[in-house]
Amino acid sequence: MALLMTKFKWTEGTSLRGVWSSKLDLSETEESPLLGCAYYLRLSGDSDPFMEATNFEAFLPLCAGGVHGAFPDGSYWMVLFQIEPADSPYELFGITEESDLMARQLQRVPFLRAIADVDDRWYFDTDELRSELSTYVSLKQAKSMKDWTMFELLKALQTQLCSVTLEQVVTGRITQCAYPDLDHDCQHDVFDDVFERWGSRMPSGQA
Amino acid sequence: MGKIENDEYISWIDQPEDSLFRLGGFGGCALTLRSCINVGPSGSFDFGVDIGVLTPDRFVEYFARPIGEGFIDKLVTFFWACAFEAVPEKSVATFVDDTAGFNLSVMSSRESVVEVQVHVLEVLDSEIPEIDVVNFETSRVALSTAAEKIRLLNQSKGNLELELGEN
Repeated sequence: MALLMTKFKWTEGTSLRGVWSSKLDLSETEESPLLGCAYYLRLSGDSDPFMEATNFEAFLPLCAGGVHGAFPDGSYWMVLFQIEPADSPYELFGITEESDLMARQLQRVPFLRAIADVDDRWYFDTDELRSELSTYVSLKQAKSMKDWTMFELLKALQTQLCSVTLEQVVTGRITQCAYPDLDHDCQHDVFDDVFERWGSRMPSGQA
Repeated sequence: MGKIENDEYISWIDQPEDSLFRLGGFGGCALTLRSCINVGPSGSFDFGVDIGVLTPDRFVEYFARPIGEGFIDKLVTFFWACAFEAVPEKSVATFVDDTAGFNLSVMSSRESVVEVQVHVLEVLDSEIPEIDVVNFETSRVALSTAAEKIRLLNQSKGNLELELGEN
């Protein structure tokens, strides 16, 4: 079972409808590691998840992307990723915990209550996320994930929901192709390859 | 991991859902209507709306606008037509409410997306009218749910009128 499904205890029949990444680009060093958070939202009945994803991106400067889909009863869910450097000047905002800066950003989304309820959250740093994802691959493959950035690890989280195994993704990152045995429109990037193929199989063609 | 406490994530401009209508758009834009009491020149109470225009850069709200006859019903028809007409920019008439100083029109459309234009008169009864104009794209899904959701304002209106009638 994919890591996000385990973390947020999704019920059987929960489906994925959309995957997106923002243009956020933060570099990570040993002195300044990145912290991440996945927020699990239940969208209100009249929210359009494709549209609300663009709204969150517009008001969350730390938004790195996310995934959204539907519960078996037809209502919508969304997981929203935010990233911040651990050495952010969070004290300037009257915040005592680094991770609260991301929570504060979420509070600034206008009309959040009308859009969604925040149901759960999961904080992690790059090493923790890598360590959790490593349990899905062999020891040898886990070693090859040592240089993966936070952004790549988040994309790995997303690909787990797109009908591929993480082992396939780890191998594909080296060859820059997710489907070496398939005739496909190769994007020469394992993540783009997975999202392109998954999106083209969706009825709306959106990913 | 941890369950979220109630009300921990309440945005600074959030309101109880039954008094707020929001037509969301792509990229952080929205039109909002909030039911309110409007005090007339003679001190009489009436139902009014706060008209809000949200873009990624700003949120402007025009408070306590009086509304014309059939304001909500005409908006239901407008949103419904925008959602389901094939080419709404050609077939859907502009929504006009001079009492509120508020117009809505359709600029363009695609298969699942409709571009709307919001006009709000910045000051009612001003000698030199200045108009706040915002265009944004929204989805047909959002428009069809907006047609349903706007009826909630009718409920607020009914509650208010009932209350005023009792006093």
